[in-house]
Amino acid sequence: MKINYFKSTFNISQPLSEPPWNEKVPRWYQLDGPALALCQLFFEHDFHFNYLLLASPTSSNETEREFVLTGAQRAQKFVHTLPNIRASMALQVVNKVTPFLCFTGGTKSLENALKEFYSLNLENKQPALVCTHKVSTAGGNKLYEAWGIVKSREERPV
Amino acid sequence: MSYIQDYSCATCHGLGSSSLWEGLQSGKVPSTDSQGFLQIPSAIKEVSQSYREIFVQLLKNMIQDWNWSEAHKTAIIFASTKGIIEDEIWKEDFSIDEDTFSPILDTLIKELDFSFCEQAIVSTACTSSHAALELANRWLNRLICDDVLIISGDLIGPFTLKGFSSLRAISPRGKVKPFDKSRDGLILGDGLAAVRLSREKRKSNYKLENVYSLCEGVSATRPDLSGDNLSLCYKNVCPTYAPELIIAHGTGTQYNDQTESQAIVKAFPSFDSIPITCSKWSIGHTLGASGLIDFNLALEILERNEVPGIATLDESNLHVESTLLKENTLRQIDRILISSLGFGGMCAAMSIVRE
Repeated sequence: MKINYFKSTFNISQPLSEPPWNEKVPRWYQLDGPALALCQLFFEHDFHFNYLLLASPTSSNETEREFVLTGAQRAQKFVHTLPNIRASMALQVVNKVTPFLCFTGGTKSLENALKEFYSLNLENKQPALVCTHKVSTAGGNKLYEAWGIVKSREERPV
Repeated sequence: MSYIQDYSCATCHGLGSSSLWEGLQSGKVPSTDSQGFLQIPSAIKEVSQSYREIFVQLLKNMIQDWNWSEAHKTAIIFASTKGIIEDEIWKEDFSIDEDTFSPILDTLIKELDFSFCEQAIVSTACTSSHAALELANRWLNRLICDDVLIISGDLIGPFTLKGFSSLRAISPRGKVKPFDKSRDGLILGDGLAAVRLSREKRKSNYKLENVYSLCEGVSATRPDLSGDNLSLCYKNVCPTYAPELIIAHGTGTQYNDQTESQAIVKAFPSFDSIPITCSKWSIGHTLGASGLIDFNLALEILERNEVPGIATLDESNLHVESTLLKENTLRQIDRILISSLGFGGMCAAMSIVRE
């Protein structure tokens, strides 16, 4: 199976200007790093899918930790403490409703999501698999990367 | 489609689906504990500082008497909203790279001493059980395995309590009144459940017919109030017929109950002849386990031909008012739809039928 691979990066350490998709996602400034990166991915890459798979290896640990460290009272943090929630934000960018499954539980989540991606493709369900992770840079910037794959519609290596 | 072989659950009413049914049928509304949620009784909940240990002990108690045969190639799926976050998140040395879901599944598998051919963990907020059942049905249809054991659970602790309090989602009067015009929020409850599905018919006459879930890009916490997407889930799981009973998610929040009411009216033109019940008025919101606990309730209803009513319901202001069951009702039911909504735009439904 040949696939198309997409990647986007969101730098949350830079002074924030509004992202180009800001009008699509109310209160976008409350999103956590993975959600921002995923929104950016969906905005930058126009990929076609009828089923969305999200691999969420470390769940929403970082946001959960922030919720606790800031006194465990901030609703705007708590709403992002779920492994699946970033998908909903990203779907707002493309105004889409889709069948969806989120795998979590460490590296096995990616393995399971890839297996499901393969099987759903064989069943012609046209899935997309997306995943996010944090990238640390030497300059101290906090970058979040999101990537996605879909089956290539062209019979050529990509 | 798959056959339902075994099922069990643990709620504030005790261990086993019979306890759940009897608690609902009695109209009992247990008191919340000092922290404000509905706990699994201490008689069956091991005293431990570790949520992981409590999880594994309860799950083992639920399933260890089931017939375990290596002759049936068996897969396992764990569904949860929060895993064992309560064990880890308060520790000073908590690492954000830590996996707070796998320790439950890994420990359980080790203690069961049974070889599973596939394993996965899914988490789609309060629709997690539906997601696990949907994946299980697909694995069975693809001949990946003969059986799938689905376990789901969430145990309430300070993180979840503080989070839902921050959202002002907890009922201030401590009483859940799903679909009632005076509904003012939910109460959280401990819940765990297990189900074993098989590809082939063995002892059971009950089938999990369809499961379908969607993610809508609408809002982090609020569903699309039109109910259109939830209605689509209902139509997908009941494409050619109307269910004879709906077990609603029924959290008792303004948005949830309004959305379910709209979805039912839109999906089924004959909605006024479909009775609606739910369980959260008595056991609280059990988060990721709620779908599998309602699955247990559905099977008890099929077995007993009696539907528990919603004992806290006085008067509704929703379109489905006339079909909400206030009282327990004797009735043979053959087709049940179980509805669910979750944070992150999740809508889901499943249908369980008597063969």
